[in-house]
Amino acid sequence: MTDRYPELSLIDDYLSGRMSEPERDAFEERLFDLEAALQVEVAFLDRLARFTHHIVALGTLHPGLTRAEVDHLRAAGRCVELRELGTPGTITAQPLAPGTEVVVQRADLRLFDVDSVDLEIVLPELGHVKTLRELKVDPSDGAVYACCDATLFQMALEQSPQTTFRVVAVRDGRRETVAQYELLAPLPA
Amino acid sequence: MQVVPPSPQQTEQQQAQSWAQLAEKVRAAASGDRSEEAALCAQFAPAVRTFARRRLRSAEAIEEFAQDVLLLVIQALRSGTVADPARFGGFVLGVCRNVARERARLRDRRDALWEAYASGLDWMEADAPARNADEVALLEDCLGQLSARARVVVRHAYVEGESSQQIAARLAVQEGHVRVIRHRALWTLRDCLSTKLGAAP
Repeated sequence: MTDRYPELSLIDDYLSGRMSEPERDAFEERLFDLEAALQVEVAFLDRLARFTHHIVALGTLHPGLTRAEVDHLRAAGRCVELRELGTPGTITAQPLAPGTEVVVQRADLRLFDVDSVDLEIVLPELGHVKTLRELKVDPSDGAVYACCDATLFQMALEQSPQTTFRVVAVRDGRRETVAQYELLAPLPA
Repeated sequence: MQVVPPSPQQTEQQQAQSWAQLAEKVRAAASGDRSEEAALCAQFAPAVRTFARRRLRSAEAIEEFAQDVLLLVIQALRSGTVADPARFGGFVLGVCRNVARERARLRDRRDALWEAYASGLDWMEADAPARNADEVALLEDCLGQLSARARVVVRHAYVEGESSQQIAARLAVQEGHVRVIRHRALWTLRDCLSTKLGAAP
């Protein structure tokens, strides 16, 4: 395994308790020295930890939830907007209600033979841009509850007037598109 | 988020230069320049939190530790007790080690320190996740591109503060495997955020 970011790996070994006491003391001396390459990674990992804590608290660490998890977020006081995507096809997104923290889009796909799906995101001008991996399928209703924080949802709508979502399941080792949605950004008021 | 790496190795000359610049900043802060004082605290805050993260688990305890250390640093700057400004990093490390040893005793002094120096930590508010919604959203997007297991490992490693040994027990895998997942997840997130932030205006 090639270590692409040796400083990052070193900080992680420090945090995870892999270093001996003398190694730890020596590393701490470096930590407070102004060694630029190390400082950049320290700052990166610090923000990663703090921001991931925020994401976990918001409930959006995983891009797919179950209905029970959506209800739990609401019960915990989160402002969750649950949207029904309906039949696969073209949908025009509606603007978010003020104060929305989490957006959940329910795809009622009746998938009872898989535990999770991937969501491939395609933009007309760029093609396939990313794959969100292993969104849970709710075993109680076979639906996918794709979630994200409201800022991310808004950013996605502003990035492109049209976004294609391909829902991909793995069956017998083969990737299979089980549904496709075209999401259109809302028309300007 | 500053994720673009500098050149691989700093030369000794660059190091000496950065210590000289640091000494200048410390002298400016000691003579009452509050913006230099805030910049110094912001520069060392990630290292202070990393030091705390090694010893404490909850986010609240880590943040409280960082505040305690930085309040003492501000007190030292304002009272002119930083003996060698060029070795300010070593001074901050010393404060961290003292606070780690004497947290219980420091708790009694906390209110007085807050009363006197809390305004020196106002910059922390701007660095909070709630004030960086776009970066948080981009990180969430990058996390979504990891495998579900890698996301779980990231959570337990960096949010819950568990060791690789504890995570290995939780996931019923070898400790070495957890280390591989941790490192690969970090590299992937680092690449993903670099790309996104590099492309951002």
